[in-house]
Amino acid sequence: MKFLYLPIFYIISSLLTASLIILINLSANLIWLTSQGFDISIKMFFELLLKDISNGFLFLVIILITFFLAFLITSIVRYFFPIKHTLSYSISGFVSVFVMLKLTTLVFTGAILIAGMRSFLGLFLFCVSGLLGGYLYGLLLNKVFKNEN
Amino acid sequence: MRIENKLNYKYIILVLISLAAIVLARPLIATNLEYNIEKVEHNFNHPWSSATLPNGDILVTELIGKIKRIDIKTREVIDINGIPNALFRGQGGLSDIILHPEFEKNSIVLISFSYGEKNKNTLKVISAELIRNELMNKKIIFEATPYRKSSNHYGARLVFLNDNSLIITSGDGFNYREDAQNLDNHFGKIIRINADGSIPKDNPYINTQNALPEIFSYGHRNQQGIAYDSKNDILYSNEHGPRGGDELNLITAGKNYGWPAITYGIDYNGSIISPFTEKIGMEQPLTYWVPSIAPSDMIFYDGEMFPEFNNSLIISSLVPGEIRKISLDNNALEEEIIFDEIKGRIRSIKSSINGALVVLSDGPKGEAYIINR
Repeated sequence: MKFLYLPIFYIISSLLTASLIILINLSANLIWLTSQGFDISIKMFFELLLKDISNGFLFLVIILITFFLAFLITSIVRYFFPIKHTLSYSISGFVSVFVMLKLTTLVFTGAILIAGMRSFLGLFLFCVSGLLGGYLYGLLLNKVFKNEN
Repeated sequence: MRIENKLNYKYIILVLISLAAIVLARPLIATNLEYNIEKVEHNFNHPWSSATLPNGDILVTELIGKIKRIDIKTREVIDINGIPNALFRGQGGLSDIILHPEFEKNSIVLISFSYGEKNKNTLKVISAELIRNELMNKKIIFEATPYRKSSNHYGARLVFLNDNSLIITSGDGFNYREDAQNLDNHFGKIIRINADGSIPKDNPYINTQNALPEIFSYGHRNQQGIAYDSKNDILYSNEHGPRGGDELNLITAGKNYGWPAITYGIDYNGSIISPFTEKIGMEQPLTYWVPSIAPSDMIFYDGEMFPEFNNSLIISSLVPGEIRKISLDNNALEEEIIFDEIKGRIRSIKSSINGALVVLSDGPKGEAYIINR
């Protein structure tokens, strides 16, 4: 019965990572606009964030696919090397988001489709979002499978 | 039963209103035109542009790095030799070709193409003499800087102005959109040079510190249509927006067209690029398209064959694949779809010397159509 929690944890962690990526992407755009003399109020920021999240279905689908593969591979690896849930899924989240971002750039002949990752900092923060999603997944697993690492 | 009948009645009205809305939302399709469409019996590999020689033969560029010549009398298709090496990747390759205004004297053609490697490439323009079916005496007259890592958004359209200066569209390279607002690079710019590569003395930024002197206007995205009304000396450009926000602009020297600070589109992934659509000091488009039509080429028609097209822009588009006439009379824009028999993504439209139109469809099995009366 405990395994019924897995899809819920998987969706929650994917939602967290997708939301963080949307937040970072929007922030990158708005920071640049501010540098160009546009006024961005706090109210406007939150309105735009809500709008981006409501339009963020594509981000969520991409992260769901990425995490599905990453968490599946991690669970197989953990079968042979029982590393802590939080550590293993954090690494898995970080690496999988990095691979996904690089693969999309390759597929689209060098075009970086998520503007926020064009800088090293943006790319790093996106990967950290993956790490946090993975960490949350590992943490939730820990709660349910207390005696199984 | 009564309730069901009432519901059906409502549904019929709803469907009729929806149909009317769809019909009214689309530009009117022109029905009273008389013309012949001839398909050239040859498949072109990613055709991108065409130019008509004084004898009526048509040169067709293929993005894969070839130029073909259609013999207008026999319809035979012949390869042109001596083509520069183009990087055929993503949206890049051998792109535009135009004749020098004094072609009959000097046989010079101008060709734009992407050049380099997949992680380090750029837009180049060369001039070359077309002697019989060979390009000779090739000379690089423009090279966009800096080089890019992506293979997208080159712009690459060419047109001559009345003073024989050459206009080149240079796209934002997709990954470098913010650079369209800086004058120290060629991303997202319209460039003006002379046909020998020198810089006209009256360019708007020739005396501006840290600005590249070739720049004519800036704040563009991926301008794949450039057209010139030579009688009135007016330059028009169209450009691909992101998701929505394709634009038709009237180009004036030194102006900023806003990308990506102001836009009517959103990013492909659904996120906001800018919530702003206007700002003082940034130009508004003559019109814009949401959703996108992906405008691919454009001419200002002043030929004799179709007098009803005079003073109009004719735009080809990739999505869903149409040719649109935009009338510019009375300061109001009127749009209508013409030649709707031609299906698929339309890559290019050009006017030939007698006013006939040459249309190219996109793709590895692209086709060439000659429209005349």
